[in-house]
Amino acid sequence: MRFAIYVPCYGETYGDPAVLCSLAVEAEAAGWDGFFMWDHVVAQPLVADPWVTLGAVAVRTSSIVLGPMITPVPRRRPWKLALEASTLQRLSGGRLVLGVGMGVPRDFTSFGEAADARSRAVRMTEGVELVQKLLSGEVVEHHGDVFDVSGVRFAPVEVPVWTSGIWPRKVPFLAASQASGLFPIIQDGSGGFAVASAEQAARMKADFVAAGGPVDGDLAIWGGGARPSAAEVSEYADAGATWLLLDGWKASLEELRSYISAGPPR
Amino acid sequence: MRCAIYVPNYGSSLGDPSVLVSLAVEAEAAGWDGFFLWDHVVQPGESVVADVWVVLGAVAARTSSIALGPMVTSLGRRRPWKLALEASTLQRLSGGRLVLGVGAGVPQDFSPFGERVSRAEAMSEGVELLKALLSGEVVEHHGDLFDVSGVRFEPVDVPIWVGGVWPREVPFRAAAQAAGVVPATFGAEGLVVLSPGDAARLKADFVASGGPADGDVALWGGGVLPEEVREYEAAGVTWMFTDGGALEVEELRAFVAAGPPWSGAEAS
Repeated sequence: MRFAIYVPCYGETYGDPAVLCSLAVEAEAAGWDGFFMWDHVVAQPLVADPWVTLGAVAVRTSSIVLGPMITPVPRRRPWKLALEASTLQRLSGGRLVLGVGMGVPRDFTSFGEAADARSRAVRMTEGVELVQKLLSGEVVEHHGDVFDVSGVRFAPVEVPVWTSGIWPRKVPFLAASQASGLFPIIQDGSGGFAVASAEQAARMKADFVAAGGPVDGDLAIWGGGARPSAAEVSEYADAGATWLLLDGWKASLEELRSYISAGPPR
Repeated sequence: MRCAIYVPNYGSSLGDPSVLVSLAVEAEAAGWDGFFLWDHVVQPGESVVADVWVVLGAVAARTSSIALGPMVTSLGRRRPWKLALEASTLQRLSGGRLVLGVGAGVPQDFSPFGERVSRAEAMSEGVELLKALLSGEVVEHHGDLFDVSGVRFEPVDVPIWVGGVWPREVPFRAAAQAAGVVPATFGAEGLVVLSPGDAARLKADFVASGGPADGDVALWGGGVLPEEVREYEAAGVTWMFTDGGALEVEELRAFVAAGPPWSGAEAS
């Protein structure tokens, strides 16, 4: 099991790129395996761009895995996203994991972009496929329903893609066959998120494989802000989880700093 | 007069973000005032292309005083709200060292992706929207190309320089929104270094189009910066850009390490 710190990209505290960068440095020093951040546009100010922030994190750290978790592909040009990912992957020496998903409606409606689930699903599926082609090193000829790319070749870069979305809906699995991992989200029914049980984690993994995801793919489980016991970690591992993402979603900066400095729950 | 290193964001060496970051660190140490990057997506024959925002995030974290920015980012191939977040994040991270160059861009970054926007219109409307998003006000923008409702970002001061081919009018389409101008002038063999007289005419065009009278004028100075510093200063030029004219990264490193030919203190 690997353990990551998972933080928002917005708010007076977490929207400050210097704060995010220092948290990543502290997480690496305390033995955490990963540092992942949300990716939103319309949110409580400040809002930090994850790619600028993670560029800084990459040169201030040397071993921690990093990435946006998750980047809403339907509101991005896949060629710009492919350049961001390849650049960060080179800069970090191969430490990037690219989380992809559909995003939230307000990041679309605020800018006159189609926000309905079907349209976002189509753009996500085709967008992820196009990003993968652009990272493959092949000359890309892609003439899809949404995107039209001719004769573009970027140098090949290997970037693990984790696909995400709300489970048990089908969204997390739209790009399963393009992905090397899964990061499902569960809602708690009152606007928040719920921590998956080990039994649910096992079903998520089975759904992922059934949808074309790799049998040995990663399964990342959001573990909330509490510190899981060794027994809980072991149950998740038995269910097929390979990463636990733990966070300061509702924590103050000082609480999160002490949570980080205590190190991962191994 | 301030001097900047100005390099492409692609190629087997310069497309490597670690090389770009190390050049910026060396430039700051050698006394250069700025480090600016070209911003392209597709460069025929060059498959290693660096995203300028990821690179400049890293540069900001590894330097402390050098000015930095993309020169120039094309608005017609970007969502201005994403660009506004990139710029505000980099400005906070760098402690106010960002200068954002904007331009119309080149067809090769549009046509391979089926993008058919009017690049000149996207620049005019895009700069206006970008400024609104950086102002801290609630943005209601309903233009020909962009439609934004009820979005408010925290205010951040980002100097915007407008780029484009001079003496065409494109660099001046957004002059009223800009803090500076960064022209490109081409001759038979590529970019040419403007004379002090031409620089003065460029500055006059910029001001006549609504640009600030005390705005920056940044000139490309070729591989070896011209010696007529006082003449250029008298013409209103505030920055000179050079890439050393070097083809190999080791030559470029030596050029950077030698430092700028004159410092602001000596020239003024």
